[in-house]
Amino acid sequence: MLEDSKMLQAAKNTILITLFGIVVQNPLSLLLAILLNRSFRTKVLLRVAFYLPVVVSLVVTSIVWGQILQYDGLLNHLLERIGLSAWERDWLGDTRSVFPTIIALTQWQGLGYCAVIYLAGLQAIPQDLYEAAKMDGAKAVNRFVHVTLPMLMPATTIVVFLTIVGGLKMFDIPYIMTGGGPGSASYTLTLAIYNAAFRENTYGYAIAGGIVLMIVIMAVTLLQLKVMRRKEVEM
Amino acid sequence: MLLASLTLVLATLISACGANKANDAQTSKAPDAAASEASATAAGSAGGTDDPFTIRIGAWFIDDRPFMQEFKANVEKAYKEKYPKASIQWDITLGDTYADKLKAELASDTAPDVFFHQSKTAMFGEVGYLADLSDEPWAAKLNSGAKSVYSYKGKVYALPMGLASSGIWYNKKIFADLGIEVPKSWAEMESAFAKIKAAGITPVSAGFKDTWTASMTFNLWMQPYGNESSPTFGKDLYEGKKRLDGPEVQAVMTHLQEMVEKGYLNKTALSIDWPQSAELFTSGKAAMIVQGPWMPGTAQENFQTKGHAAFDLGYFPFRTDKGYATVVPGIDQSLSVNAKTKLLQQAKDLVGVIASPEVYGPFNIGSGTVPAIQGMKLDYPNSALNDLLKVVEETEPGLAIEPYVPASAVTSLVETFTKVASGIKFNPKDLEEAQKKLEKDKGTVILPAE
Repeated sequence: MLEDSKMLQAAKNTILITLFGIVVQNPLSLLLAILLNRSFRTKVLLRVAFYLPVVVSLVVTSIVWGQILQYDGLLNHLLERIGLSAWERDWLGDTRSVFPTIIALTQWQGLGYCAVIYLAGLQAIPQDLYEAAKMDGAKAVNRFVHVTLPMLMPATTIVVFLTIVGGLKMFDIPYIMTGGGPGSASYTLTLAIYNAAFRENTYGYAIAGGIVLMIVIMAVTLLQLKVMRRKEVEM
Repeated sequence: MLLASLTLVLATLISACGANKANDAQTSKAPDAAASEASATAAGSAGGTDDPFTIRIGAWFIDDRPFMQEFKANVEKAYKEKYPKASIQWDITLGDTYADKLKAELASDTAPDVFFHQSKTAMFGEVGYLADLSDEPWAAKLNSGAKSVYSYKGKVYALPMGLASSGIWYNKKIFADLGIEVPKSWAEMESAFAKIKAAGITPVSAGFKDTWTASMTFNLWMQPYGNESSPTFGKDLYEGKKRLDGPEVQAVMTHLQEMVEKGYLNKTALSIDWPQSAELFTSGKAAMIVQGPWMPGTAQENFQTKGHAAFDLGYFPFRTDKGYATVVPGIDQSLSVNAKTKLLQQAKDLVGVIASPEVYGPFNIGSGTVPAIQGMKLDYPNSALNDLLKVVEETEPGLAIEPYVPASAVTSLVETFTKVASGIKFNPKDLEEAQKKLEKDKGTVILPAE
């Protein structure tokens, strides 16, 4: 497997999408949850809007995004309008832009789901903890660092767990949008395993890949759970 | 924590094994609900015509095109005459995923009673998925030129739905307006591309989002280069006398790169599918398209339904730098009977119905294919198809290369092809991986009958 350039490309992409989920999607969804937890007039509408990508069928999503991202699609028209014609490209047909585009789509799709988990975590924090902190003279930043974050650790554990597992087993979006191409630029490990089995008829190799991926997912998630559970606070 | 997790994993594995056993027992009894219902009602009838039953047929190509709907209606009508109380369940999954789904269904004993496949007779025959159809009346009349597609180890396992030849379809009006003759070599092809591009028209429309179109284009382009180098190029690859990183494949990739660099392909080539690429062609925005014999029918439909101005289509094959061309009549759809069906006789009769002139004939006319059952003369209303048949008759027939190459090597080649199509400069080293896969996975090739 280590000599297979396609599998290595897939591993690189899979690690990238997982890291991006932890480093970007995780804090972004927390920020979104904090904003959506405030009281304002369009709160319900915005909550629905951010959660919508989770419930919309992937087939519909891929058709709409496919139209937006193709060379004569909406995105390139917008870029042209704002004077960024040099950026125009076939977003899913260019080896340099295809995987970053797929990462962006996964973030768009997963953001609302993670935000809902954080939102539930935020709403479960007792208000009297904040009141006590205020009485002790804690400012907003201190209240966030010393009350919100520790109390949110169970939710953070779940979100990080889901992000890691989701990233490591990413299959549907690249399968539907690009089939792993152009070349092998948008391969992920699960897609490489799937293609090895069903396109190339090398079932033994695919099974070996599947077992390795299972062990990696188990090891990474067990480690993550072990580390994060330690930081959780009992109420 | 670790112990608990491992216990959970072990418990899951054990329960999964148990579940598998249970499932096995269940599936050996009844592959699925429909088949179970069918076999229950058909049991004891021994192929009788009075009992109601449902028979499943799997396909990937039966879409909304009028001749496909006509095909469905013809099959149902003819089958009703034989089995008045039968109903046909069409399991249709359009596109590439059908083949993956069919493999999974066959492996889990849930495949339809009768199913279409793409030249998988040897692969499925080898593992016992297909029922022997050698004694069927139509089997003796099959064109022996396509033997490798319908037979395996001397037995007939499939009904080929027609002999097809794919290639380059062109807009005769654009060619005439620009004074372009049908190209007879790669140099003439390039000169045609340049003239068309200068006229503000895209020379070639491609829809490589559908991987099969990229695969088909590569194979069609590769065929003359391979056969020019050796008439048995495919076999030579298998035997190690030729290489996938050799000059033949390199020539194709280099020419593709030239086309991309000079803007001879549509810029959307990798993000549109084949119907979109067909629209680009039929709208007159592109002068050529690499497609199968269904293209004239699709063009006709686009002229009628999408308001595109109608034009005459012409056909020519891919040629090498020296002008060598070869045509390999292929078979797009083959029809087989599931060896494990509980409705064996009814399934064979369904294939028989499809092989009858009143069903098989109109299907071939609509698809633009030549009947693989000998003695069936057809009149093609579309002049483009007569053009195709004339070229096929005049061009030297070649031996297909793909059956001799493992799927993993073909996938690697097509990936290099799409990579170059995306604008990445061709590096001959990229082909080394395909050659390695050819050597490593040679054991997965089931050699076609000769």
